[in-house]
Amino acid sequence: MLLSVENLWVFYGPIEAIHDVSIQVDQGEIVSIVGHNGAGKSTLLKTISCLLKPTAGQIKYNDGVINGTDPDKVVSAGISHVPEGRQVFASLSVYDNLMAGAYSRGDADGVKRDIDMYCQRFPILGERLHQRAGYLSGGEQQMLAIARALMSRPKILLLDEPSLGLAPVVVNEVYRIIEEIRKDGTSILLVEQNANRALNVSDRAYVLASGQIELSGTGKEMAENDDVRKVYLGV
Amino acid sequence: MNTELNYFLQTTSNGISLGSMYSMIAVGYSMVYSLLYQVNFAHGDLYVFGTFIAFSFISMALPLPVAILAAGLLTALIGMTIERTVYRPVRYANRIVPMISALGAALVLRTAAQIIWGPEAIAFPQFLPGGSFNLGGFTLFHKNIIVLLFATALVVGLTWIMNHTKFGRATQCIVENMEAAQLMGIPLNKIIPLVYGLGGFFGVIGGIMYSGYYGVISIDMGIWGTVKAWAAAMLGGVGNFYGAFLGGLILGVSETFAGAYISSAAKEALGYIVIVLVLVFRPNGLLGKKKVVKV
Repeated sequence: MLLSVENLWVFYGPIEAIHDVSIQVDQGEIVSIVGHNGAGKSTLLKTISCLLKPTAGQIKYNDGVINGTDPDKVVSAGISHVPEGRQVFASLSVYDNLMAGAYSRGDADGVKRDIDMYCQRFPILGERLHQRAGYLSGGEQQMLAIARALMSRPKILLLDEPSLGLAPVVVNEVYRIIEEIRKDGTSILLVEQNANRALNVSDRAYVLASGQIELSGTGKEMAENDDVRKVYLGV
Repeated sequence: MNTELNYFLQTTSNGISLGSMYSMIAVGYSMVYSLLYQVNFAHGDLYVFGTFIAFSFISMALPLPVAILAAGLLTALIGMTIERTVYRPVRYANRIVPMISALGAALVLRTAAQIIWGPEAIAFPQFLPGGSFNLGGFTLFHKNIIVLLFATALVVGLTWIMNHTKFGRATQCIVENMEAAQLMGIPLNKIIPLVYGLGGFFGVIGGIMYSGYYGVISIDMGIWGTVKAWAAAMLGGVGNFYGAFLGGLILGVSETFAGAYISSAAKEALGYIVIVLVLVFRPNGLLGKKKVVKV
């Protein structure tokens, strides 16, 4: 088991956000969490990244407990998080954004090689390497946010709403990249409101509603489940 | 050269010197301010405390560079301690809370300085060289040039650190988006104390230059230092060192002119007037940019 969340409870002050949630991600899997706005999806990812502290429960990664450590230790351990809304450093150049992603690494040569590699893989980043990230379009910023997160060479990538606010053709591109990343051996925990797209690429999926896991199964099962189709896919 | 012109040139060079010293204090201030976007009331009292430390070291007959460096390092350490004890526990609280705890820290520093060095203004060794150039009746002192060069070197150096070192780039990430910076693996609790330390270090350099230039040090320098640094940093644009530098120069020159041509009371009021005008008409400062809006 690469990542396992066990009986997690998270509160914002008196307000309960995550209610006894347990999920798992295996090596090489794409696992998605679908649910409406406000269901607690982003909270769950932020707790895994140690931006938030859980009230109860454990987060285990490679059999070690990570909750209670600092976010930078989580990154060094191999968990990288692409936050909701991209959150690229708008006033910094594309290059400096990628360098920021490599903060936890000490191998300058390897970092340089990785930047070259991502510039080829995402040509738009290569073309705009020395422009401010704030001048990129939404889709380009999403590519940058993903490349920036991969710069730390994670074993597992947490993706929060990667298709939010993007044109359908750009969403296709993002999902093509997600499948490529998995082929390279990085596991993915994907959070989406766009359940249709997420379930199609996922090995397994969970439905999160009001902070609780309501359903779980393989991506295919979930996509065919009548309740899921009615409530989350709108068909 | 006629007397009028001579007086004008003399006022200008005095103003540029005063401005250079404001710049040095403002740069350190701007650095810390940009992290959390709140008035750092402790900055003024911190750099004065450090300048007093330098005074003690110089009085002990330590060589000047050693005294300055040691005072700078000690002040950096105090700055880091303030971050740890005064700011960090309330980092995520409502922004009024750290402002008040900073006021508390300022009060502790001011009172400690008063206990150690007494409440009176004391003479500070005038270590800057006393020579001058005579330019057709107008006297340009060597120390006028030295403080300007020093301030320039400091701003250029600090800007280089911010743009070309891992520490500097990490600081920029934190300034722009603290949460995203953490997700990059940037350790807040290592970088932020260093910024406070560096801000204190450069503040002290400015304070020592000021006291060395005018030959005096007093506890009151803390309060007005906070105001001048704030005014200069805001005038230039917070988070932009060249902005703080420019803001310091403009403030110093205009204050000196107000003092020379209007009255010394006008000089004292100018810092506050600048703050009000900038807040009303140009809240981002002269060189400050609005944050790029996310698409």
